Amino acid sequence: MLKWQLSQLDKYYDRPLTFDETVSVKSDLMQRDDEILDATPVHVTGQIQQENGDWVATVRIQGQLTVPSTRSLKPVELPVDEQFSEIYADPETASLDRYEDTDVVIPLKEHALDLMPAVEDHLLLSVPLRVLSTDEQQSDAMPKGNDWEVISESEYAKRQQESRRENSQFAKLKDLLPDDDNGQDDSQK
Amino acid sequence: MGQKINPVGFRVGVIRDWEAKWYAEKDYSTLLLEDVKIRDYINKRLADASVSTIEIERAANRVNISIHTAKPGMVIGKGGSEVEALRKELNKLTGRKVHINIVEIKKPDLDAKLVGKSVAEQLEARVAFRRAERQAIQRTMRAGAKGIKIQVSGRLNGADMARRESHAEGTVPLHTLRADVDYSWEEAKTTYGQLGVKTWIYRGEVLPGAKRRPDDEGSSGNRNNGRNRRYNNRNNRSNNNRSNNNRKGGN
Repeated sequence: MLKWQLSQLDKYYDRPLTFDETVSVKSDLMQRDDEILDATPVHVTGQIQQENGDWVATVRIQGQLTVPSTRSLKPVELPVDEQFSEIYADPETASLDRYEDTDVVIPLKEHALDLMPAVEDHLLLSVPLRVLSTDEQQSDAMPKGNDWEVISESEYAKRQQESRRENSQFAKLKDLLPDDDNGQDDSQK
Repeated sequence: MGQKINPVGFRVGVIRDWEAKWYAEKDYSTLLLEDVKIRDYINKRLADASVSTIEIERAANRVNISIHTAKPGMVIGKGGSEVEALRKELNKLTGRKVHINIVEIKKPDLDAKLVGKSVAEQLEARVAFRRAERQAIQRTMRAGAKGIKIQVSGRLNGADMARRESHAEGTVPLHTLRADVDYSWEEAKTTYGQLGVKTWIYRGEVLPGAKRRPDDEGSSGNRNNGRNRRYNNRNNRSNNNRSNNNRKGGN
């Protein structure tokens, strides 16, 4: 599934190979990342085209992952609709210098092009660092307990500013040295 | 290879604030050691909780600890059980009353430590390093960064010989003090050995006089305080040196 031998791909030297498959990746994903709670079968579409002896795969993946909310750990359903393009080259024959730094060039293994690792990798990479449910996105309510609380960055910055203002032990020192408002620095005096 | 200063340490006191905010006339070493123990304990216990920075403030017999994290849920645990246990352990460790603030990071894609950690975790999950790098760069740029550079070193994709590869987008002006450059170094433990992940993120310029917390956005102003002077003095000094050098060259 989603794996082609190079001898098979050679037949498509003048036209792209198109594919449209639905694959199950749940167990593999859950094994690789313990934060993934569930995954629906993934719809994979795209094409593979030969370019200068290498293979360019343009793939679209659509599915849904379930991951815990980063704020409350409640399961959140995360729709995935990613598109990527990668170059597959034979490391023995291809000259990789012609590609840009931004191109993703994957070396072919065992004379076959396998798209399953790419699909799984992109599904894992599609999980953002911050996952919130729709309720959490809309509300600012943060949990609080005995001598601990969760606060937002803006609230934290506000408190820091207030505490700086309150700490006036050194306030008198403010007038000790006047500001360099005359535009001259010490070296010029 | 030239030796390079840590971009974070280079900017402390100029555009970045200290992570420990206290003053002690006596017992300085004891309190400093206590800070190290607190940080080590939290980093170990909350290794999976995407903790970026730990700020420690002290007042009398009280310690205020602010944990900046992208995943407050992991720090709190179910019904607050984790954070309660953590607080009790820290009370025991310090012998003082500990208050914990958990600060939720709004844009984790602009935090070098979190981005580096995420790349390292992906490498541990056997994701191809080029894919992980590219995804991290794209996300950070989309989040509003002006530049990012990621360097991965070690036995990449299980190669026999270790090497290093770095990818960058935008600019990362390491020598500009007012440029808010965040930096982190993380390690990924793979079956082939350890991989190092270095991340630099340039989040834009901080106006003179405004200090910026690592994950604080939009806090810029025009206050003319001591740090501003220090920054200006550094600039003036370097300008003077440059003009002196030019004069010498002219002679």
